[in-house]
Amino acid sequence: MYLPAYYEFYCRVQIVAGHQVLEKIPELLERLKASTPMIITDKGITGAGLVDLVKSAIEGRTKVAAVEDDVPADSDLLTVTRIADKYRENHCDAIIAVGGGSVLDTAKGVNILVSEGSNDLVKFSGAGALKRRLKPLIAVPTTSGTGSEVTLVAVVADHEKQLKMLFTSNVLLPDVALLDSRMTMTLPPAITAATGMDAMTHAVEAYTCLAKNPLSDSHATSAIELISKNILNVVKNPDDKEGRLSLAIGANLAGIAFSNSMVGMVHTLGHSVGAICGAPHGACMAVLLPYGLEYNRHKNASFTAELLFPLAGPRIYAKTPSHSHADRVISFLRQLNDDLHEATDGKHPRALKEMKDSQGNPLISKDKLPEIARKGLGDGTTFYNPEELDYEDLMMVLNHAWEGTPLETQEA
Amino acid sequence: MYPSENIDFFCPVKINAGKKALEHLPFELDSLGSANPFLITTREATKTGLVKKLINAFKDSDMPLAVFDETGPVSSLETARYAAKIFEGTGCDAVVALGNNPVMDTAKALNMVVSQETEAIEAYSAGQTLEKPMKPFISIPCFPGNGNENGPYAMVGNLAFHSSKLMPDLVIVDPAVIRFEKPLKVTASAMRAITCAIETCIGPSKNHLTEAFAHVAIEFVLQNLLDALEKNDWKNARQALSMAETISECAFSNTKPGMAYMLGLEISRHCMVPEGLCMGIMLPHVLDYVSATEKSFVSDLLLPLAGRDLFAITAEGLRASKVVSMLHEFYYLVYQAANREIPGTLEDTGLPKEKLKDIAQNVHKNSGGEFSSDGCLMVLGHAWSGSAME
Repeated sequence: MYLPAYYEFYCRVQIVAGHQVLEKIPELLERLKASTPMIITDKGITGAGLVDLVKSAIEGRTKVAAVEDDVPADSDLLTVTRIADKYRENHCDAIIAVGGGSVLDTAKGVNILVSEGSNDLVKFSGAGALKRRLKPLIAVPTTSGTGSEVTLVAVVADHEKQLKMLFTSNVLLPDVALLDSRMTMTLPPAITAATGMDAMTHAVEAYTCLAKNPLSDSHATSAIELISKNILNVVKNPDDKEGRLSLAIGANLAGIAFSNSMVGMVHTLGHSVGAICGAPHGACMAVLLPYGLEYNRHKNASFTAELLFPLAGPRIYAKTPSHSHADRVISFLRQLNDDLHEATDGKHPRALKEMKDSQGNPLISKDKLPEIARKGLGDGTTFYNPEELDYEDLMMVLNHAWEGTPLETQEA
Repeated sequence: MYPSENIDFFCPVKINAGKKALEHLPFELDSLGSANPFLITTREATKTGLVKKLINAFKDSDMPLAVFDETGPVSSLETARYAAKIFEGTGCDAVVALGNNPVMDTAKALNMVVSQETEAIEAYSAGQTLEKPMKPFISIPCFPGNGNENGPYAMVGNLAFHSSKLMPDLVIVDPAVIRFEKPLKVTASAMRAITCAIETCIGPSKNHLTEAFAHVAIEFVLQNLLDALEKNDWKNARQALSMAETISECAFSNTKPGMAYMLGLEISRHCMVPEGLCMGIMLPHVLDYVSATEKSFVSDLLLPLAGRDLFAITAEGLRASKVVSMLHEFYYLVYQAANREIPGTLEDTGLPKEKLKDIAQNVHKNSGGEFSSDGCLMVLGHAWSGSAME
């Protein structure tokens, strides 16, 4: 067991998971001393009928005072302020956030304003500006990926001033994370694959980067096992309820792991590819994950090697000679991407050049790579990466990731 | 794969562990919204310099620290009420508790008085809910303790309280507050922690979240208890055991007590041996019984107990018996490392054999019928004779 001289671990979010847990919302609200919640969600989710599912699960027991589904894909200040006004007008006393990362960021932003009785969100940005408990917030994720139902950060863009405000505080942790298998049943295969690999990346980087500790490690390995055992099956059999729930729990564990240990260069590059090319985050993570492990291999191969057990199971672990464990982890993840590529009819990318927009046009042209590398160097995640990162190295990694070729010859 | 995928897990406790963890106190208090903390501890902690270490942590901050060191060897409502008067009189806004159970229990009672704004906290022991928000509460347990210092319980005088709101916001595990104690106390505390953790992994509340905590606690105890009993390098090992106590409690507070836990508790009532040791003696026998009589998860325990390599090369059908023999062997090694100052068998505890039946019946009753009288008696019988199940 790796034991740092000092570490911290915290996740006070109550985690409720199962096939029929939406029905518990009324009693959870009651425990939080709230009775008139506002639902914050987005149009895609209302369109998919998921908000109706939540409403019918609590019908007759909890009065939903307002539903707001006009939340953009990139949460912004004007939206937050507008929804906070709606919350007050309807005399709400809690928030149920139904959606992915952006919905949750918006809900957290709204919660800051309505709890602090303010209209000025900027005042609370940064780390530790918030100290008082906020209004009750129940997070109901609709993808199994981001883990934002258990993170203490929120990002809200101010488009007028062209900046992104970051909020970090323990009080931003939701009160409850509600993982109901019904909420992810309709996710299309390619999104299931990408979001699942996003969660996988959280867990793998949590385990292999610099700020790990025994508790983040145990959450990470448990997440890796669950995701690895289920992701391909669920992509092939979208109706697999047990598999869906396992992926949701895996993503949740991964969220807990990385928010207590931070992440490294896969996120460095992923953030940057996303910002410059508008590429979806999960797919970027999937493509870049093997490269992060390869690049850091000479620094942290022993940690990478330990992941063969949760990733491939005891049989493959026992059959693989211990000096090949790290390489086997990397090839296992590549193979997983290949299998997901096949199972999604080519929609899940194996290389950056395979990433496409909804019209089928390539998202990442090769001439953008220098810009991506330069932007990556300014990302906060570089700090926790085991190996130093410079422009030349990032370009080398990006070129390989674009083509889909490994950084070095595989041994195992 | 798991008994129930209906997870409901809650651990409100933040853990700060390791060297100089105490130094973060002013920062942590500030982020909990406190400007005027109240330290509750014992005279002994003042005399041995522990309180001074804590005061030093505040040196570079402009935060004052009120010190109350009049907690006695047992918790009492009177002390809690007296401390509450001082807390309120000095305008304090958060509770910091340094010590073991009597201090923690008194601190929890004090917090109920000041946060619920009533001296009559007896009602909360009778099931009334704690309506008002509690004051920020930071716990600094001094290993070895009872193990439930950071849990949702408090025993004040003869009043028992149970609420997750009694759990601390933050637990600080710092080697600076680890004292040298006799093997008996160290072992009792560690065996309680490993029993709670192991039974979490085979009980009805086994799930990925409880296990993420329990596995770490199991590994900490297994890898450190023997070292903690050697005189040379006891401090680091006891620091790890202190973490095991805290982490095990995080898992355990989400589950119902298991058979070894309940038997240990009950046996301890009939002899002069600490409950943790009685649990440690019973643990391998209980696992043997569970794996022999029902479809169980005992075999999965080989992973935290033996590590990846041994787990992977052990055939599935042999894992459970390997778990049982490893735990027998572990207890024997601990017994030797403790210079045989702890009981090695159930008989060594001085428990009269004719009490076994009563113990089995009481555990059956106290578990609400979950553990059968016959089953308990069978386990006790095997533990008495030192024999394995057939």
